[in-house]
Amino acid sequence: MRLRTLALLACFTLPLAACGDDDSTPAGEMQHDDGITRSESGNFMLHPMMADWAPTTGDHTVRFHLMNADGAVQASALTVEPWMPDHGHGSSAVPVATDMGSGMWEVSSLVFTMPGAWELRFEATIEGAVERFVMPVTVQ
Amino acid sequence: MIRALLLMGLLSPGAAWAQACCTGTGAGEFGVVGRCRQAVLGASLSYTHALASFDKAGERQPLEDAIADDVVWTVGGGARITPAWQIHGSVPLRLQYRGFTGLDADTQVGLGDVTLGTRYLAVTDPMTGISQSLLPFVDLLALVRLPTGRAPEATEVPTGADVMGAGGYELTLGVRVSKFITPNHALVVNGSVGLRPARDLDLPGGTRRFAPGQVGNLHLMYLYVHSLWWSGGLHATGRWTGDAAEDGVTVPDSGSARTRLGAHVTYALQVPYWEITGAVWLDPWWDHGAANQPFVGPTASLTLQRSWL
Repeated sequence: MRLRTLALLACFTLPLAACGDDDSTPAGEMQHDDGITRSESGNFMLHPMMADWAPTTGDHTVRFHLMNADGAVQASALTVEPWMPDHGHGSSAVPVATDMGSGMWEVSSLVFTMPGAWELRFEATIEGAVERFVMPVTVQ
Repeated sequence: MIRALLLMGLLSPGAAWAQACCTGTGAGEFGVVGRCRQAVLGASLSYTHALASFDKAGERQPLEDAIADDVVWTVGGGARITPAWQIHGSVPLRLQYRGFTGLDADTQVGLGDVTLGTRYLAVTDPMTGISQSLLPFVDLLALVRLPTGRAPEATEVPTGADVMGAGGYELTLGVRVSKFITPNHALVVNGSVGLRPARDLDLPGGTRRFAPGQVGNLHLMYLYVHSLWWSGGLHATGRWTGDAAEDGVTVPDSGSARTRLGAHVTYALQVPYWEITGAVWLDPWWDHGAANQPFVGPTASLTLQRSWL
């Protein structure tokens, strides 16, 4: 709590008495900068197709681009789970991911039920292997 | 004896001791047996309208695309087991409205989290004023919150309007110190810690172990006893939680803070049996007045309580 709050509490009572994309990132730590999130393995990247995406509470449809250092990557499946790690819950709506081709996925029914720090937990199946991404999202 | 004291207060407005005696340590609390009483039953209606949220860094963000209104009807009461030891509890029924961009607005009704408590009066203030005695009232408190309301992870509607509870148990242990500076003016400090055990979240993708952060609470109150009929108080509260953990891994910066300022006025409709209390609570309207709070806003409440001697 900051000084101003403490001061007001006292006044009230006393008178009455990124993260960069650098290669030093160890595998398993997902970094994000400019909306880009690396997979757990560090081999793939995912980012929303919106500059400065700042979602509000409610229902959203967003496109995400999956790629590696060589360009777009085709996944056979993609799942998304919105999650509030601080509070230990997600939302009841199950997002629907639709393959738009060329590494592009459209995710609909992406519902945020309250402002705060959320994560989008992605699982992409790429050449038979599952790649996991955790994308931090601040909901206004 | 108690009736005699009350009568003395009624007949002699200057007999402030009797006034204070009948206020005592339960003042301003819902469902808690007040001094000189043997039991209490009460009902309270409150309304909260969310105006803003606070992010992790404590920046206050006005709510622009969300409406969150909560109406809570709470019934509760308590009884003395011995003169110094009482038990009490409360049961909330919640009506919640949520309106978000792109979703149909939703209203849900349900049982909230039931709380059961006990307290022991360990030290008694003679209530003659600080010039006569430094002894305060000291109450030892224990409170358990039961997860009777629908948990956040169990929501079935897109808006989450059906989330009525915190989802887990919370055991609160605390101390409340009340000191009558004069027979009409008292200061109260209530400090407590809340212990919240980890729980398993059964989710479609599997089970996760979620451990909410532990809690610290502080409540400061100034109490003014004007007469046998009128009393009031000013409140400042703080609640701080530590970092949560998921599957044994601490979630960085997941702790939270919330402070509130409040005031209450109590009027005895029929001394000493019936009393009505109006209260208002406000959240800070400046940055860093709270942290990691999704919805904050003012609360107004009206409480009716019946006591037995």
